[in-house]
Order: sequence, then structure tokens, then C-alpha cells
Amino acid sequence: MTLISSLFKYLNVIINLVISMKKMVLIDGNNLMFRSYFATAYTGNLMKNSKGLVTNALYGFANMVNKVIKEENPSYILVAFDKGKSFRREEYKDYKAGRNETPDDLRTQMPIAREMLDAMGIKYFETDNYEADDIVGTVSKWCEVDPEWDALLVTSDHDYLQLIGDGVDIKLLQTKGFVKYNRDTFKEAYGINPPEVTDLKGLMGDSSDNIPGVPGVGEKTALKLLQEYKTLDGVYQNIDSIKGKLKEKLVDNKDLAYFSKKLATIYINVPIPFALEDCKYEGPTDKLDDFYYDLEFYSLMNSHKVKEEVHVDNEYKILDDFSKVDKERIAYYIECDKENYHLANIMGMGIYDGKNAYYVEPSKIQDFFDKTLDTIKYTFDLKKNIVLTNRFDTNTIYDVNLAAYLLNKITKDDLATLMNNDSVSVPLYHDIIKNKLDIKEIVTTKAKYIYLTHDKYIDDLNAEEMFDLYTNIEHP
Amino acid sequence: MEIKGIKCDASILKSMSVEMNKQIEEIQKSIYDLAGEEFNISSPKQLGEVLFDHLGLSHAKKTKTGYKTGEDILEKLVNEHPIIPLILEFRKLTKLNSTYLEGLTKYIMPDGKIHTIYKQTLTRTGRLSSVDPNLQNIPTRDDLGKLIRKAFLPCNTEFLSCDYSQIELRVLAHISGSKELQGAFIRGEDIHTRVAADIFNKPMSEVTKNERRTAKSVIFGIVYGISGFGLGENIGVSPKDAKKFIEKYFELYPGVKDYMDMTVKSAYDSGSVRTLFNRKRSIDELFNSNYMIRQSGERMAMNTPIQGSAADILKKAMVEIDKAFEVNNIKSDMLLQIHDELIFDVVEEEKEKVLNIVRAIMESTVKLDVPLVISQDFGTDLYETK
Repeated sequence: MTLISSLFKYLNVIINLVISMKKMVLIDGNNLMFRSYFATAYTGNLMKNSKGLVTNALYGFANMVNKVIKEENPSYILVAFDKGKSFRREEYKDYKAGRNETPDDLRTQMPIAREMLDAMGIKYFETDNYEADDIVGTVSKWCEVDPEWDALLVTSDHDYLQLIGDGVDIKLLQTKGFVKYNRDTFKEAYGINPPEVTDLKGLMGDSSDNIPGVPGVGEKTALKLLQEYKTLDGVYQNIDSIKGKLKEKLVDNKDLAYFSKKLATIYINVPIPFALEDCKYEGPTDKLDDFYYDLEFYSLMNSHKVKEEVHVDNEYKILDDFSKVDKERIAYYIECDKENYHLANIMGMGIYDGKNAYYVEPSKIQDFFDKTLDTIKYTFDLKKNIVLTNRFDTNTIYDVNLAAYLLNKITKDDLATLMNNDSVSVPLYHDIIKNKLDIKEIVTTKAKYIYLTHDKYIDDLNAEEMFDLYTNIEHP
Repeated sequence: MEIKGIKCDASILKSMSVEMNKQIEEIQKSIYDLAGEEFNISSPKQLGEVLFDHLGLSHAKKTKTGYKTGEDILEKLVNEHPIIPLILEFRKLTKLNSTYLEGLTKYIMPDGKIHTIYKQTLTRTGRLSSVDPNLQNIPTRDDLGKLIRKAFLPCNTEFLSCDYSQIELRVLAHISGSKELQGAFIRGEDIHTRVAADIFNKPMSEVTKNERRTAKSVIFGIVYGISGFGLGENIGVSPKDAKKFIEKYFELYPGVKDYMDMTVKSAYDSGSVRTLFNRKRSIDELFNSNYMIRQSGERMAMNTPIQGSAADILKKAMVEIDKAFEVNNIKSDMLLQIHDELIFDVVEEEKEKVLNIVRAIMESTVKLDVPLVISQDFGTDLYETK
């Protein structure tokens, strides 16, 4: 018999090598949208697009989903949503009673999240009276029983821990970062097996879902009991070995404990009208960029869409001969290598004179300003440039940073923010420094932007009657 | 100003730090004695355990992460156990030490100066902020914290500080058109005593220090739009009593109430408010479905025109002073801006001249319905200055 069993083992290994595991990522859509919404709602300043549509949760959601795709590289994805009133509410009308109502600003974004998933090429599912948990639970069980499939659950909801199983892992999102558990690491961390999470909730309850549990029994006590007796049944079979007040509480609340366990148990038989294979993920559709464009998530777009007024192509030349430059007016942008410019070194400068863009090396910058004393200049963050060049005579009469500030635009000390919001794509300063990008094209594009948008900003300042404020108070 | 920088003596900071560390160690020892054990006082978790589990003091809420040990909680327990005031002192000293003594030292550049960066595009009101390091929040009131100012020294002869007295209240008096408020300023009265006298219904000469302090809090509370609850917390009375103060104030100064109401209404209509120099601030919070957020939007609507106008005025003065210095060939330097105050590094021979130029400009850069009053002081280091 040993020969046959080792042959089987050998075959198993071959089979496992030949069948590549299908990796399914299961995402709790409601959980991610809520997290994303509340992550940025506290400031009171909700992200909106220019049509007034609130988009903060969608932005975070898109980023979170993209991150999961990048980190996990799944070939199958399913996002689950809640729909209608949970069946648990019918059994227990106080289920999730303590929760505040979903804010309107979040509610309006929910249907759009589904549209966005369509554009992203990701399958989603929702069905009346079931929560996202139940859908994920059902599908994860399919993966568990099928050796071909592996599943990864993505959520911050601890209830999902009960679904961990053979080939079913969880990526539990936390305030910062995440923690991954499989069956073994979970047992190590909690001392109980994943299915016993329901027994745990049966004992200790769950305040966020308003599941009662046994009054007076918290996580510590509950874990101790389960580590000893394994399940709720085990506890009650051995109730006489338990002493004192604890025994009293358990006995008095036996029905409550079992009821709580039931409430906490994720349903795994939701009727689902499709198969695992239908969740194949093949990348975003070609409608995604348009979708992002409408929401004004420019930084997520792959190609840049450029508005008519600001057509910026990225050609430039290296500046060697100053006489070539149009002497009447130019825009310049200086990039330095640290945020605190008192300590920084100049990395390079881009200039644009209305016709051509030029890149100026650091060593040539002082010379350039010496030879262009009379030229009117525009820039971004004049104060920084004064410190960097240590000169006050650059004849700079316009600073787009100040203009944008007065117009209540968000600048964050980085011209890229303004430009990206104006649909001109350019990397953020942090990316430049972090990834050591070549700045020649970047600084010349920035200089071009400053030049071309000058008239519009001045018009806007005048329209808002803040031109005097700019000229007489802010700029000097 | 940034390029000039302000001289800061590292050795003074260092010796203060050494002193302070000694004090901190002593307090730490006393705390350990009283607690009967050693623990990490800076860890809220451990502190909570010691105070509420071991010493059995009455505690407030227990959160997921442990007991709350914030200053407000400890303040309430001050009389329950001698360890509490020591812990508050410990926290204060460690904060002073790390934020200012050690914190400032690392910003002193090779030229012996600190070069801050003034952010001109950060705040929503139009005020400047100072970062890396923040020179706008060096302690001025606290006896111990004030000593840090001794480390800041002039490069010329001495410092001159010129400060707008109650500029925000004067701006409020002007914008609101409240005749009563304006009257107080025009008559040159001490505004807080005046308001105290009105609220407590007694002649100005009989107002006590406490009453004046209360009136001051009420006034500032109104300028910042705080609620009865917030004010109550500030001055230690019930929210109901605090609300009564606010109502009495509005009764006596109806111009102010009308102005506040009008401003909020106009903010809802246009989605924004303006300062005296037309600086615009959009307030999206007003259109949020969340009540609390809308309330905070209303506070911004009331406060921004006041704070923003004050910021505009000071910026305008700075621009004019700079020009005047150039025209008059002044060698003294304008060094720091601390919200309503300007600090100059003055050359001996120019003392009179600089003072006159600065005062004249600050007082007259804008003509309001009430006078703008400047207070000034000279000093050999920043501690001696005001």
C-alpha cells in the first residue's frame, strides 16, 4: 500500500503544479465605500467635481481597488454590495440599530460606484435582503471546496474572519495598512479556529452591529472560554466546570448567546446566478478614462485629456544661447531638491517665451537672470525662487501660486496639483523626488503652463475683484 | 525676512534644556514615589492603568485603546490626588523641552540663525503661517515657556515689537457698524472692562479681574462663533449661564448681532464671504447635509471677514513699511510677523526713526471708523521685548 500512497502523493504534486491556482479576490463594496467616505469627510471639505457632484468616496474607492489589483494581481474579482433590508433585521429589529444613517453625500455616490466598476471591467453583485458579507461568504465557500480556486477576502470588517478556510485568506484592512491571515496564522493570533468566530460573537456580542452576546462577557473572557471549550456547545456541555458569576451569566443568557451566534453567522447559501468563472478580470474597459474624466480624477487617467485653452505639448530645447529667447516676457519655473528651500539646491529651471520652451542648467541660471533684467517674468512661488536665486531683481510680476490661492484653488505648494486639476498631466513633486525623475521635461512643461494660463488667472482675479488685492498686498 | 532670519543662541537653549531635564527627572521621581511604581508616564495606556486601576481614581470613559488621560480629564481630578498636578507639570515640561528647546535647536542653521518659512498660501482666512519651525507660537504667557524667548537675540542693537491692540475687535466694530462698540474704542476705553461693566451692570471702576476675564472670553467667543457649550467650558460655567452671557452681549451690542446674522445669510446666498480688501473665501461646509459641519461653516462665515481683514491690514502695513525702509535707507530689518505683531531688529541710531515710521504706517495704513492702536516695546532679547 505504501507504494500506491506515494504514487498518489506524486500525482497530487504533479496535478498541483499543472493546475495553476485560480485566484479570486472578493471585495466588500459597502465596506470600502464607507471607509473611503469617512476617511476624508471629517474635514468638512468634500471632494467634488466642477458640476458639484461629491466624489470623495469614489476617489478613495478607486484608489483602494487599484491598489488591491496591483498588490494581488488577481485573475478573478467580485465586488459585493448590500441591497435592501438585511434578513437579519427581520429576525432582530435592533440589528445594526446603533448606526447613524448613511450620509446623503455617500448615498449619492453608491450607484456611481457600480458604474465605475463596470468601467473598470470588474464584476459586482448585490441581491435583495442579503448583505455583502453573505454574498462573499457564499462565493468564498465555493472557492474553499474547489481545490482549483483560492480566494482572498478584502475588507476591514472583522466578521469576515469566520470565513477564513482552506485556500481562503483574508486581507483585513486597518486604519493604516492591513494584516493578512490564513487559517494557521489566524489560529496563532486568536487561539481559535475561524468558524469559532461566530461562537466568539455569540459570547461577547458586537457593539457595532448591535449584536447583544452575553452581557458582561468581553473579548478576553470569551476567547479564554473558547480556547478551553472550543465552541458554544462545548461551553454549555461543560457549564458545571465554570464557576461563579460567569457561570450565572452564561446560564441566564444561553438563548441570547445562541441567538447572537446566529446573527453573527454569515450566510453561505445566497442564491447566486453566475459561476466563479464569470468573474474573470481582464483589465479596465476603454470607457474607464472617460469615466475618470467626468469625475475629474485626472491623476487616475492613463492618457491625458487636455482642455482647449491649455494645450501643452512637451517639446523643449536646452538653452545655450540667451539671445534666442524672446525678450519681452517669459515664464520660468525652478525645481529644487527639498521642500525647505532654505536648505535646498536648485535642480534646474524651465522657461517658456511664448514660442519655445527651454531648459536651463543650474550653473547658467544666474547668468540668465543677469541678461534678462528687463524682461517681464511670470513664475510659481516667487518667494521660494527669490531665496533660491538670492536675488530680488528678476522683474517677476506674476506668481500663479498667489493668484490661485486668492481664487480659492488648492495648490498644496505644488504646481502639479493646479495643473492636474486643469487636466494637464504632470508628476507630483513627491513623485519627482521619490522616483528621481528627470526634470527637464517637467520644468519646461510647468513654465509653459504658467505662461499660457496667465491671462485666464488675471481675468478671473479681475472678475472676482481681487486684482488690487493681488497687486498691492499679496504680490509685494 | 526669511533670508535675514533671526539669531537664536543654541547654547542658551541647551542650558535651559539641561535645567529642564533636571526638573523633569525630579518630578518623575516624585510621581513614581506617589504611585508606588515606575512606569512610562508618557504612555497614556500605562498612565491610565496606574491612575485608574492601581490608584483607583475616578475615571471617565474607557475607549478601545484604554483610559482617556487628556488634559481636560486630568484637570478635573486635580484635587483627588497629589499625583495629578505633578503629571500635568511633567507633561508641560516634556512638551516645552521637546517642541521648543530641542525642537528649535535643530532648525538653527550654520549662520546661527533660524530661517522660518512663511506660508502665504496655506490658511483659509488669509493669515500667514510659519513653518519649519513655527515661530508664531513661541510661548508668551506662560512664565516658564516665556524664558525660551531669551534665546532669540538681535543682530543689530535691539528688538522692537509693534503690535495691534485688539485689532480683530476693532475690525468687528468697524465692519458691523455697531455704534456702541465703536463708541468704546473711540472713547479710548479698555474694551474688556467696558463689556464687563455692561454685562454685569456696574460702573467700569468696579469691575473685578475675573469679570473682565469672563467678558474677554465672551467677546472672543463671539468673534469665533463658539457655542454656549464651548464658552461654558472656557470660563468654567454651565452652558446655560454661558449662553446667557452671549445673549446679554448681543442685547447690549445689537449692531454686532445684526452683522453676524447678515453675514451668515449672505454666505448662504453666495457660498462665500469677503474681507475688507475683498479677499474671497468659499465656504463649502455651508452646503453639507451634516448639521455640525454646517455650523462650523457658519462660524467660518462670521469669523473670516474679521480675521481675514486683520490679516489684510497687517500685510498691507508690511508692504508699506518695507517700501518706507527702502526710501529712507533704513538699515534695520523687519524680522518676524506673529499674527498681529511685527518684530524688528533695530540699529541704535535708527531707533526713533524706525519707531515713528512703523507706528505711523501701522496706524494709518487703513482708515477705519475706529482708531487702530499700536502698543510697542524695545528689548535686548525677545524675552525682554513685551
